[in-house]
Amino acid sequence: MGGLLSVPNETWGLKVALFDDHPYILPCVVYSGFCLLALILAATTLPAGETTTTTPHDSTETTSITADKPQDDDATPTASEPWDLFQMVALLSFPLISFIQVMYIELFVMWSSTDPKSGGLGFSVGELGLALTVKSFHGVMIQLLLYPPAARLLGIYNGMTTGYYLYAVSVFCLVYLNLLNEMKVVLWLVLLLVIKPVNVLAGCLASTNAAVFINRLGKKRNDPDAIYNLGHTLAGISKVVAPIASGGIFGWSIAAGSKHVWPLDVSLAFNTMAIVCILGAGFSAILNETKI
Amino acid sequence: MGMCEPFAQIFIYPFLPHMVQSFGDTSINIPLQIGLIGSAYALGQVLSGGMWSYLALTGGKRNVILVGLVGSATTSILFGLFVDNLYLAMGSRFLWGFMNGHVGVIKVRFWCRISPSSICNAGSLQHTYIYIVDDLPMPSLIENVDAIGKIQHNLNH
Repeated sequence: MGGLLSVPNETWGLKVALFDDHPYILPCVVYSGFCLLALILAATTLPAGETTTTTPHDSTETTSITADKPQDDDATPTASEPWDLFQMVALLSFPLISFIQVMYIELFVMWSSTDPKSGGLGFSVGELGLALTVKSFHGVMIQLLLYPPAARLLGIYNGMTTGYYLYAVSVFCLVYLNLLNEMKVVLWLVLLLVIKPVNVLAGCLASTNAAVFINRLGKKRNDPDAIYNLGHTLAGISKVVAPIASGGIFGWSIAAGSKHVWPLDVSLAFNTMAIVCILGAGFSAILNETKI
Repeated sequence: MGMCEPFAQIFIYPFLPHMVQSFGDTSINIPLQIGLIGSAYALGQVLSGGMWSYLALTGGKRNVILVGLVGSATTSILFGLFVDNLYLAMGSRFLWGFMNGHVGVIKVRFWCRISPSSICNAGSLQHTYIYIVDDLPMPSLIENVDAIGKIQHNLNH
């Protein structure tokens, strides 16, 4: 949508003065319309004055502002008990996958819009929007159709590890699409039918399982509000670092005048990210599903 | 409601490189400028997350969600209207992220209503909308009829 609606005077041949002065206003307006729709839904459907969390099995809402009651029969630890290694790793899995995903989208956007002579693909706004759109299509299909059987087959723990390995492979291979720049059709076919689906499946396995781990951890420690907010805050910190890291590394590797050779050339940021993914796989190997 | 956050985070990326180029600022390389703008949003979320959680506990989740949505809508318009250099872009994205910090409140509300037997399907459903808001609605309910049914059942109780 961002690609389709930005610079509408050029994209759609319009002659609206506002879009000349503010070429990126239209997607922002559509987004704010989306927010207003959500606002109306929230105002009409959410109960007023709720200051508590409810559990699925409660017939009435609790009146205190304390955490939920545990829902698992084996949820014996409480919020005040010390954290063990497995719980800490489960908590950190959430910011780690956030870091990888944000780094990936930043890298993909920067690299694909970079001049082919500098190792990129030279995508226009529309082409970049199309690539992201098709990725969304893959995401929905894979998340709905492939993730549930894959999660059942692999289990949450093995699924997460597999996701990290697949992520590493897809990221490592991505940068070499530049070699297909002269054959645009082949480039798009490989990008959309091979690289993107593998990458999306990896993201589904790793991120969904990380969210499941966080949820389990919150219930295990008898404090889902605090655990989820802690995980969200850590994920937020990783999202602050990831764009600067990817931008800094990628910017340095393609800096004008530099004559970097592999692995310090345009592939540096991708190789770095692949290494982070492999570290994530090792990291998730510490997790033991029976302990979370 | 939960869609607003990934929507806000992702939808500027297709035009962000071209927007940054239009700033004409060569003192910092373009990839790093893109990274700084991306980081500003997350920084706003991180710094406001605790505040929104506190307000949700004291003032009510509904009020926090409503204020957050109004703030997100307003700051997105600011981003589209007034941004013409790197520092304004970073500032407005920071504000945007700050107003979107309430997403934790929404997610906690979602997860706390899921029964242990439905966790995997619910996780799949929740992550599906992240892809949907990327662009394409492609409804397929083969696995998620079960999850939706269980969520509905939980909400009804």
